[in-house]
Amino acid sequence: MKTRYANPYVIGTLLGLVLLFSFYTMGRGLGSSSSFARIAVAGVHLVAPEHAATNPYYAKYLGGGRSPLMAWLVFLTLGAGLGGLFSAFISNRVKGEIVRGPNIGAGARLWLALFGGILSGFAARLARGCTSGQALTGASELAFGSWVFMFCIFAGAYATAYFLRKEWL
Amino acid sequence: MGPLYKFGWFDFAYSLQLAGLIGVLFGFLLERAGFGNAKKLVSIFYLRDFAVLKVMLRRSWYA
Repeated sequence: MKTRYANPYVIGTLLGLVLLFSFYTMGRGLGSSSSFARIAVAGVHLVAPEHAATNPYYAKYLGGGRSPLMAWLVFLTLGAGLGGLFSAFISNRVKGEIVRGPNIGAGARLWLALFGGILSGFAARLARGCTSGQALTGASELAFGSWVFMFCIFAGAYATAYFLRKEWL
Repeated sequence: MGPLYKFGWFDFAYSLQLAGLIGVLFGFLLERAGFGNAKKLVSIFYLRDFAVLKVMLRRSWYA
């Protein structure tokens, strides 16, 4: 049997406490986009180590004699995947499906998802954070730039959501 | 006094284990709220379901 989703206010409170715990123990917030950047850097470092070492963007992840994957956010993102899977598992929500609206085929939906992923991944690095690092952590710290980021995210989404409604819902 | 890591309470290897644990809690809570469901996530942009906003506001309030 599928169970219903939890109360959003309760979850928001608990997420705030997890964030507080993270700040208290590590002095760091939650994020995820830089772990994908680190995976990309590790890939470039594997096939073209000289290029990775001379490119300033890649090089900043390569210091300290450690693999770029041995990092706080990489492990956090791995854990988040496991935690989400566990939550879905105990509520019988684990299944293979391609979530899509009535107006698009499965293949086209996947290409659209890939395009959207590239766009949001690129933008997250430009903005120095995604909705986790900026909107979740930054907004909780009341960082001005993060609040600007959050309003821009919502403005962009509300401006474009209408045109993709048949692909989504 | 925190942050504990900056004051040398534990080392780098332990900090990665802690990252995994905090990540599990993070992912678990997000899925509990329905954020593993793409349609539920976008439905706020079609003014149908405001769970995303409710979680974000309450979380910012507490942390």
